[in-house]
Amino acid sequence: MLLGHLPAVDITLIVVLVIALALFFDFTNGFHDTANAMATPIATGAMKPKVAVTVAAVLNLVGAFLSTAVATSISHGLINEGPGGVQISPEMIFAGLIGAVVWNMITWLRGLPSSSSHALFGGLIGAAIVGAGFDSVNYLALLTVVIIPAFLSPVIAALVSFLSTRIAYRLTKRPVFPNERGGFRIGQVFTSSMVSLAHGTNDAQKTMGVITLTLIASGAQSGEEGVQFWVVVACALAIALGTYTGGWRIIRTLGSGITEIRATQGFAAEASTAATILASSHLGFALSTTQVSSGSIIGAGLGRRGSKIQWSTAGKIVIAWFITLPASAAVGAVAAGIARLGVIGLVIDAVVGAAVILGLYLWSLRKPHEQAAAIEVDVAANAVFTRKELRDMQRKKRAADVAARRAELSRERTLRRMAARKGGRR
Amino acid sequence: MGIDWLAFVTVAVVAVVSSCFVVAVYSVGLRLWSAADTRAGKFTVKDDGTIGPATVGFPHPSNVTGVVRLFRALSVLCFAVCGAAVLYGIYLIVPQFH
Repeated sequence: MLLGHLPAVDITLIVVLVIALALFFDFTNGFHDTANAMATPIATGAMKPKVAVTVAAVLNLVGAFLSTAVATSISHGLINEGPGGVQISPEMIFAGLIGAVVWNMITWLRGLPSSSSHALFGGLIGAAIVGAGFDSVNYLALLTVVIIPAFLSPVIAALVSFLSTRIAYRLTKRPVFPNERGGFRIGQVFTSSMVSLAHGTNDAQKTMGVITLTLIASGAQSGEEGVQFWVVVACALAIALGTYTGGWRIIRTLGSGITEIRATQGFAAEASTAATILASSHLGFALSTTQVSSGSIIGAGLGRRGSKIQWSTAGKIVIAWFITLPASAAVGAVAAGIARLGVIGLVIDAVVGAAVILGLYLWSLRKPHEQAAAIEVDVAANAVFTRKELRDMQRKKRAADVAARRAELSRERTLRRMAARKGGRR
Repeated sequence: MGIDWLAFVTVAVVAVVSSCFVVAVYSVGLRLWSAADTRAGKFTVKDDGTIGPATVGFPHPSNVTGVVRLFRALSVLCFAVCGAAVLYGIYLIVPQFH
């Protein structure tokens, strides 16, 4: 349980590599998933971007410390582990992590929210297939844990969020009382924080499981011991740091790329994300936070009359979800193939992996505007104008729209009222 | 097949009910809050339904009496229910509590 254990054990190259990579995966997981909780409050101005990512980071840190139940299986039964099945070697975990990290970096570069856990599963599956053949994968588990939830979670989330948004708008309908929909901003702070906390408790635990199982496999730790304290600290810090760094590209995509989110929608969307995740993790299948959150935003977009959804962006996101598992499996398989060469292979893997990650990072720094233009039109608009300019423009346009619509509506309303008075039906 | 469809249905129903409940209560809270503001004279509502300026002498004497107070109290009650829902959510998230 203490740091004192560390020097006593024999730490081999592979263990060091896996721990380093697992922590980096935790980091990418953090910045990939900041958007799930914080895209909508940032988009509606409920929280300033810096404040939002700070809150998310703190809650992820807290969440990571709260939930330290040892994961008994990294792959959630996707790989036939244990007696009679495949022994997941640290090399496989390493190759799987490379697949997951590389795919996370690619989707981040494209500003696409994709599930980090699916990337991890994919990488492990790819590595297991190369390392132990096609029999090592439990395809039924693959269907029930990954594929069916991938179809259902956005649909459920969109439905929940659609109904919530409808209810919220119906209950605060203009123009009977001067509504204070701005009050939804305060609510957004709470709902988004809930999503963040839930994320911290779920996702940091995955990395802790990976590191702990590697330590057990290499004999550095006995199976009976729980997660070592330094592992908890390292994972919590890695995910919090990642969250604080903020995957701004993904935040833009979710906050303004799919649909223009307003406070009411943002509140309803995050409330449904929180409700869906809590319900799923306590009653049935664990649904992917990323998919639930994207589905909620689409549902919120559908729920407000007159809001447009960029189906092209939504389509790209959905495609990314379905590519995630095979793509990271492919990278994981290649990495596992190289790792079979022995220590040389591991070194090659580590060097190539580091080079690819660094390359992707450097590519993200080059010409951010052109990059953004290649991603999404809306995202490009965000990249060219500062937030304030953009908000002023939107506010002016919105004010004009609202004035026009209000005049029109009130006229129609009067007509309707007159028709009702005469006993006419509509 | 070991696919538990019932679990998906349960999740969907529970999520719909709980999310809609919280959102509805919060919305009602906001609505009551602005209703209280209106009764207190912070806004006026014109005949065509649009919002007018505050009446002269806001805060109105009625700000602290009767209907305004009732609306404010009900609104606070709604927010309190939402707060309880948030606390229950935290209870569910933190494994140490159960």
